[in-house]
Amino acid sequence: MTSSTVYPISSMGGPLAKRVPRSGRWGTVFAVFRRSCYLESGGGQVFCLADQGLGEGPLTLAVKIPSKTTFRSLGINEGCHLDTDGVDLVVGHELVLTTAETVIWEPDPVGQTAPQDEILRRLDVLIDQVDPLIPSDGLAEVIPHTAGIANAGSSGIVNMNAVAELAMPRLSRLCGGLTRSASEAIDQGVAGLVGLGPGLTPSGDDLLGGMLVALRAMQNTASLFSVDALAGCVTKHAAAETTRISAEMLEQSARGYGSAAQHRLLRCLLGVDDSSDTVNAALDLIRTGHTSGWDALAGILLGIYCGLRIGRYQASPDPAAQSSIAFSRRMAGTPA
Amino acid sequence: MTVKNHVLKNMYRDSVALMRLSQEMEGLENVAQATAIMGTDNNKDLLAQAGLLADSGKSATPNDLIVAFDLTSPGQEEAVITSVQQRLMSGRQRTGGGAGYRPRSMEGALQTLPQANLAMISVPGEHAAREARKALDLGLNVLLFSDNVPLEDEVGLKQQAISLGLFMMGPDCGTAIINGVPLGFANAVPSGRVGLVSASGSGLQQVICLLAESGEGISHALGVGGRDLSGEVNGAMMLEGLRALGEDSATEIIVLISKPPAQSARARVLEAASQCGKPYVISFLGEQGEHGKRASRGNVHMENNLEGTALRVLKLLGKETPGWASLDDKNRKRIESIIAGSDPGHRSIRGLYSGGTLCYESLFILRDLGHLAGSGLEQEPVGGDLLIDMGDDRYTVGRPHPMIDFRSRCEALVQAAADPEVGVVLLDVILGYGAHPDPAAELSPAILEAQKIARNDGRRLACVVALCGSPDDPQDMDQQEKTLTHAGALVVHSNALAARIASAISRGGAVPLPGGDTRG
Repeated sequence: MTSSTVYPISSMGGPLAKRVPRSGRWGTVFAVFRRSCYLESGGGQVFCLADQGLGEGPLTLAVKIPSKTTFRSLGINEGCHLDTDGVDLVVGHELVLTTAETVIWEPDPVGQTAPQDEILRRLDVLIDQVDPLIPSDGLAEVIPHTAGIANAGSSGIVNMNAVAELAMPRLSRLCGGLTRSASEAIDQGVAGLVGLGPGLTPSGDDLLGGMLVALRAMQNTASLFSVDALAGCVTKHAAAETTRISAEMLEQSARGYGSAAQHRLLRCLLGVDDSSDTVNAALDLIRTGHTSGWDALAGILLGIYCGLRIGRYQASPDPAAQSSIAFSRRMAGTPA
Repeated sequence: MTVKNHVLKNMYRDSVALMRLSQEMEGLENVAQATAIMGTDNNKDLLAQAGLLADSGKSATPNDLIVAFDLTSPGQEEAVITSVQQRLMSGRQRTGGGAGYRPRSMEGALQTLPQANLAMISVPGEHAAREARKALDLGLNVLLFSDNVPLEDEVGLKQQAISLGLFMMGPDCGTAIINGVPLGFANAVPSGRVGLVSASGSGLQQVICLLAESGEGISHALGVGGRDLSGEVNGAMMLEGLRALGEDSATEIIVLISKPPAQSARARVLEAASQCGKPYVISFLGEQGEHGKRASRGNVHMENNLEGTALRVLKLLGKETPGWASLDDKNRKRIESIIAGSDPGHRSIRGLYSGGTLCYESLFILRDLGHLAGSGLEQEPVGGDLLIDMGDDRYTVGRPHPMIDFRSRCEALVQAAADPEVGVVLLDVILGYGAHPDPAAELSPAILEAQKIARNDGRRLACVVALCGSPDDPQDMDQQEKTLTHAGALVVHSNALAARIASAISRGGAVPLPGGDTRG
């Protein structure tokens, strides 16, 4: 291979690494942004080539390129092919991406989780910290209400944007379905959220993705029927009802793979280790896209509240006790 | 009203681009409402509920982009669609290479422009040192805009520059004016007799703007990066800058601006200043205790805030106290009116800053005045007043700096208005090269909306703006002030004064003077 421009690939997502062909054509570029592009393989799988500054992900090839270099200035346009000779990758005819220094990225697991009261305290602190910054677009406005929604309540919450108002009853239905392991309610909730809202990955998708990654990270709920049902509903609806980029993201989320920023935040919120980095981790996440990071944060918070509630619900033999679980002070005034 | 949809098949634009497109379309003449959204079923329902779904949009698939708009008068559809297509394509053309020779290396650039003597470098931190070293090796002075450069690299680069007789400004240096040439974020200030070296970008801008408004210009303004006065770097480039200004015949007074330095750097700087024959004004911002006292010894005058620094320079130059240092009758009456009309239970302060040093200065001024003020980055909420530097790296990755893009601040402002505890919002607006071309136009609608939200809730919200700019800046400072004032903001030019006004409103008292007295 010869080229005038060579950059190293710093990391490759674990699920993506399993798909690298031995040689020949791997994919074709179909969307180009300032610091990233999306490709589709012959088998229809979508993956991403991105500036390493955007962070790692399960389907991301992170490449080291100079600051302020745009992908189009590297000659990457829609229709360009990505080929491999078994060692390096070539985009178009001029750009060589070397793999000698590439590491395979896998998210660090949460490990042993902190006590429930401690997790709830961290959630309270985080919501307080981000509250002044919450934007009015997408689904970020649900963040202060996530504890109440997880308890299947959404009444009395007003003055939200049109997307959030539409989403609120659907989120309540979904959370109620998760707690009761009610497949129909889960499916109805998911159907109303997939592909909903602004952005290339619509807000509803980002929220569902964050929720799935959070629930998968909570080991005590990961094998529960309702979480598997949620994953199944999301992938089913996403395949037909949202953008292909979003559908691929949700497919990974359903398996527990989120972005590096999502996993870092989950370790801070759930792990027994030091949580002092929680705010920085959240800020890293909310910088993603215009509202994508915020929507994913809403999903993570909702996922954790739901996960804790599912755990309690399953553990308690007394239905009266199930409905009286107090999640935090944010629950005040929200019907159980 | 005529609703139209334009469907772009398999069109992918990132979320920020879609949001901007929606905003820009709503700004078009004849467009009452507009949005650009992916054509999923749920989004089509959303459009239908908003009355924005036309027949053509119903056939869109999830991978299509629906551009929906409501025309105020029929017959304008083609013009709007043409405008949308131009906006969607302009991003490609801008980044697609362009015409003319664009050197791809520093050597190539020097062949094109052999008389160049300075390289401005902005690459990721891990590559920045290598590029800076290359520039120094080529005999170029360096302004290193990049941050996240390892400290040991900064030390090595500055030592290398000194050994070669070159300047190494930065890393994380965003502002300089050399021989009248503005670099990075800088203001259109006149040439004059004040030379400055600063470890703070917005702090430097505030001082030179206050001086310019008072009719005083600058010889040079050098940035050295925020870590230059740390123990490790030990003032290496600050001392070089001070030495150069000491030798510069156009410079009559030398100003140094920095956050509190390491002891060793402090000693070196004071030693250099005391041995120079020219008057020095040294501002270690927010310095507390014995060091924090305003004092003069020989030719060296110590200050601890930006306003005091500018006032001291003017005094040394024999100038009268300028108008920006005090409240005019109009503003005084407005403050009295705000205090009279506000509920003492709803007066906490929310600061939303684009200039890091301006935020820092306001924080320590409020704390000095006894406020419980936090920056939002503490591990546990401080409670009380909250001043956020929205230009901090934590908030800007993947987004333009808030001096350029006001969306995040406008959103935060509206959010603050909905908080019943907040009675005062403090904002900075920085003008000049590199900044937004019309900040007041961006901010004013949010100020109006914020005040409306508070009013509807039976409260009163005061917006205090520190307008940092020079009369010759490209944005037209007078017009900026008028627009902001018209929106209901109380506008002053000194950041410190803005913070003291906020304190007075918050407490329902008179505006404190820097020395602790009050002025009503």
